Amino acid sequence: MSDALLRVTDLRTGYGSMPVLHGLSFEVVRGEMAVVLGTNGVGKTTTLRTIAGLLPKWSGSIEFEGALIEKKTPEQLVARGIGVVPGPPGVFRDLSVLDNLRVGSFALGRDRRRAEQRLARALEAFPILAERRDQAAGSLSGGEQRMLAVARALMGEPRLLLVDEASIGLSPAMVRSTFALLDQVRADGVTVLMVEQNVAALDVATHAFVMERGRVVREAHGDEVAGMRDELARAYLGGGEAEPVLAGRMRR
Amino acid sequence: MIDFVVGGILSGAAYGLLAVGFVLVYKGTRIFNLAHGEIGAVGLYVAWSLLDRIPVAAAAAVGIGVAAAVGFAMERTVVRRLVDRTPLAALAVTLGVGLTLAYLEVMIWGLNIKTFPSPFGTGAFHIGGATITAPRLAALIIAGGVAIGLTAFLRRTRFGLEVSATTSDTVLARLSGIRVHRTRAFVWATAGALSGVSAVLIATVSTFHPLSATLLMVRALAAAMLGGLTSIGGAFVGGLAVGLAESVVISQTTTGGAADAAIFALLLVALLFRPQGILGARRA
Amino acid sequence: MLAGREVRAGTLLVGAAIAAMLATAPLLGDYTLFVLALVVINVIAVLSLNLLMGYAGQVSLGQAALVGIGAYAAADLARWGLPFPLPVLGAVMVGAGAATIVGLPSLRIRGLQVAATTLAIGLVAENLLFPRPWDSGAGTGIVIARPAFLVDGRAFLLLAIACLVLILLLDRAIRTSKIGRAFTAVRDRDDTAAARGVPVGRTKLLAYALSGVYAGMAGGLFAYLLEVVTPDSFTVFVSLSYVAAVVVGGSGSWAGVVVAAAAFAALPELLRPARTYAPLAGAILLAAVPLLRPEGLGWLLDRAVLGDRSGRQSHRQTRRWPRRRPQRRESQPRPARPAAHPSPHNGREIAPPRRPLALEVPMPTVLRTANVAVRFGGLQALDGVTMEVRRGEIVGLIGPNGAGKSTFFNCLSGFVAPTAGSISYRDRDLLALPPEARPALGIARTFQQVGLSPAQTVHENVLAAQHFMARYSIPAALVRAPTAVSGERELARRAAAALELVGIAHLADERVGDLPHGSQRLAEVTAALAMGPELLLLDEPFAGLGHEESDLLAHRLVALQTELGFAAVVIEHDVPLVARLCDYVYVLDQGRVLTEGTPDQVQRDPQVAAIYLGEPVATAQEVLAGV
Repeated sequence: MSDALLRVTDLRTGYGSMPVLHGLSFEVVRGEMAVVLGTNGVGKTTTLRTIAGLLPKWSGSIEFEGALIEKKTPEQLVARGIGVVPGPPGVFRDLSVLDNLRVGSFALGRDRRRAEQRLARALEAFPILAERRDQAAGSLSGGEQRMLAVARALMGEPRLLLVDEASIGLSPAMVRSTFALLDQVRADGVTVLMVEQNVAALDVATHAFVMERGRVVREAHGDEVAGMRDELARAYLGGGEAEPVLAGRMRR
Repeated sequence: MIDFVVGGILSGAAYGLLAVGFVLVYKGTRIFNLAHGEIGAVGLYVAWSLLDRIPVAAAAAVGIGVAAAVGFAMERTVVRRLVDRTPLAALAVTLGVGLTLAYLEVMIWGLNIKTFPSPFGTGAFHIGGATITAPRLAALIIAGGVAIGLTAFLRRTRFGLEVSATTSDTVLARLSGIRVHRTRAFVWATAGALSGVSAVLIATVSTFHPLSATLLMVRALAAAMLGGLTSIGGAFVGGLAVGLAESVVISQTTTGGAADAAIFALLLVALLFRPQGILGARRA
Repeated sequence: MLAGREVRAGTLLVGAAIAAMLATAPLLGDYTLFVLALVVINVIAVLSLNLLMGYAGQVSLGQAALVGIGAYAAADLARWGLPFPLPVLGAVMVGAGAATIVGLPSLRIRGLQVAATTLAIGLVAENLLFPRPWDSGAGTGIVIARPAFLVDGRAFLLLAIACLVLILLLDRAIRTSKIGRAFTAVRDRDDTAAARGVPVGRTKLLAYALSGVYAGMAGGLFAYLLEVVTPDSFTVFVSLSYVAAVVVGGSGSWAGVVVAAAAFAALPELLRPARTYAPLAGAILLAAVPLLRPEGLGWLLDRAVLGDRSGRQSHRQTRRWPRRRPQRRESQPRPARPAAHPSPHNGREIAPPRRPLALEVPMPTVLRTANVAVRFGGLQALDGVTMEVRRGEIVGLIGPNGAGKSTFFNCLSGFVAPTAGSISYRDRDLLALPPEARPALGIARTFQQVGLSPAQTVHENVLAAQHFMARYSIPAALVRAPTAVSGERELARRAAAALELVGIAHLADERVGDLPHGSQRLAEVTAALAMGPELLLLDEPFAGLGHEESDLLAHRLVALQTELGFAAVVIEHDVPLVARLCDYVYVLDQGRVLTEGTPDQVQRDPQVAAIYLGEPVATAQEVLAGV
């Protein structure tokens, strides 16, 4: 319990009058790769946006490292050690790759030397980005932009990294390498909370949740995670429902 | 003819600076600020009233500073509250602020028409058969300098980078820890200053009166739209185009209002044939 | 507003003011009579902007130019010898024509940039058109003389008041007819209006034309009042003062605008010290009102004072969704559980309207598409979609984000033209048909974000959806001819029947934007059903609904379908829900139909599993190949 880095309790929120989260609760423990899975429209991105401070909650609570953060602004959360990798594009298209990374370093404060060190390390860790350092981020490919988005968020040395659908629009190979990258990030000591539609995320997850219509309906830890694949298939696609609405009405 | 071309480039540069300020605000805060031209006019009038007490250059500087302050104040008081209003409401509010400033100007300083003295005296240069007066040349150099300086600031300094990031993608900027309320205030203050510079430049080479700001504004709008409304470089180039077009028309006819018609035609062309502007990127 | 029995504060106030003017006219001095006539004419001018901006949402920062065009037209016609009242009638026609031309850019350009063009037009008029450098006779102004019977100030004031009353009646006829509803649709949701049968371009031009009628009349009257026409009366600043009057009055509230316009025009004249401060006050109000009280004076004047004490307001200024106070949201959104049981017998009331004979014959296939393809620049959004929808079927359309489902719907409703392939509806080729013509054929559609006007009530939205069914012409609407009145009654009857059928009659007078999400979805379905569709296209109708609400809506849809007999296509992400609701399912992926079948077949198809779970079969092979 005390290891919980992030705790979300009975979260309800939405856009305008449209509710999206109908009482969402879950916990993420330090050092985990937590993955929230679900199809479109279940509220995965809304969850991240609410945690990140972009969307006000209607009710419920969000705790990070024991402190309530639901009223904090995104800027404050970055200073507290939460990094965000948003959905595409996730980068400043008008700025160069280098400038994108520099912006990421602003979260470290005014220490220029530390920022430059971080920058050097980032370029080392991502040679592709180093190659394209002066290119406009908007001209990079989808996978490279995703990589840049992760690198930018890491520049701020976050303790928790929120990742929004990293796999969208990427080829299967790129999806796997992106997930592998995030696994490495976790190994380096950053807790990762990823929302995803792609089930391949189960390969790197240590903790998995399934969301349906704004709530968590299923959860698995460690070894059970791999076994969720079939469950997910059932959740996403259904099959064997109780009470079909149109029993034997019209068939082609 | 060269005379007109130089004049056109000069006023074009002033329109361009004004347009750059407008686009900066639009990109950064999504507000169509119709009071933009008037903010600079206020600064100009303040500078005028200081002329008999301090040197010209200092008066101009103070005026520009006042314009920046007005821009900043407008962001703090009015723009903050426009967050969840319709674009039409925001338009009405900025229009109201602009008109308020204009009427205040008339009440305080009257309806006089005058020019602003240039600190560069009355010398003239002869280049290849054409004559360029010192004020004009100076104004041209200053306008260019401001444009280049702004670009350098946005690209090279830390705060400039924060501003660039905010105008590129405000949400992402917040998620990167940038304190967007500061960059927003800066954007508005800078736009105010640009408006002030523009007004002073125009006033050094032609007459200015309380209603001039509206005329300037239309030209800046045309310039901004020629540039696609989202490109700072495009806005400046658009401004040059507007200035040149206006100059050409004036050189051909003395009919008042012909220039306005030309600007209007340019506006239509910009909106109908190139909605993404000369340099603007096509929005996905 | 439905019964018309209630009287609003504004109506009383304006009526009383007019009566007072008429009563005191014999006693007033020449100067006062002049000022009153000026005020009345000003009100007409501002009403022209209220129609354009307040009703139809088209920003105009150069409206005084239109009034000026009317004035100059009247002056020219008088100069050339035409007797009164022909110059004024001419001014009306010229005003309408000029306004229509001014409105042309709005067809291609959206939003605030149109405002810039109107500002530029105003300047051109002020500096070029009105001073007329080519006409030395214009000089310092064109002089005209009033006819003998109008020389007396009282007579002129009477004329002005008569014209105002005429305009107010015209305004009311517009507001309460299909014209006003079309304007509102264009103002609030020009993206979805066409799907409800409203031709957006033509409606905008009509708004400009009618606005030009008012403006032309005001201009003609100005010319005769002042007896000289100069450019000074029609400057950009005059235009902007009109904008201030409309905004302060409460954009769209005619009574508020009348009061504001009268105040702005009268105060400088009547209070000497106020003269210099009046424009400043107007400017401050223009800035303050949208911030502090966006409904402007309409907040006061639109309240009903007789007949209905609830103090309800209608025609309020659009403060577009979302509203300002999210904390007002209940933590537990109410499910869309209607109080009344739906009444099945009402199905007959909203039966499909008479359709051309060729479409009368019932046929098994309602919709057939063949190889529909859509290309946007370099992106192939749809790559050959072939599908069939049969009478009485509910067909599901599923697939990942970006698969092209909404693009396909946009083809079906006419917002996007396919670059290849064919779409035939009841054996009729749909390709060339504009979106606003499709409801008349029986195609209705709902939208991902609810496509209704949030500022209007449910009832008004349902009425608006029946635009194509209003069986009366525009001229008939303007004079409130019997065909218009009976046409409106018919629409109201159908709307009431539809609301009863769906079971939300108790929400009829609620503003759509105030309703919980589930009820908004139901309202949108009701509006679609009121159109008497044969084919109902539902775009993610369950988005934002919790489990209970989705269930309710699904059951309701099936019941309605059984009662009314329409065919439906439903885009939805929730596959288990689709499986329970639909008879047949098409799966779209990357613009193509990946597979199709009964819900059972689709659920068991490994290809479908692959695209939803993100593991294409090839991946395993790639991994083995050491990629």
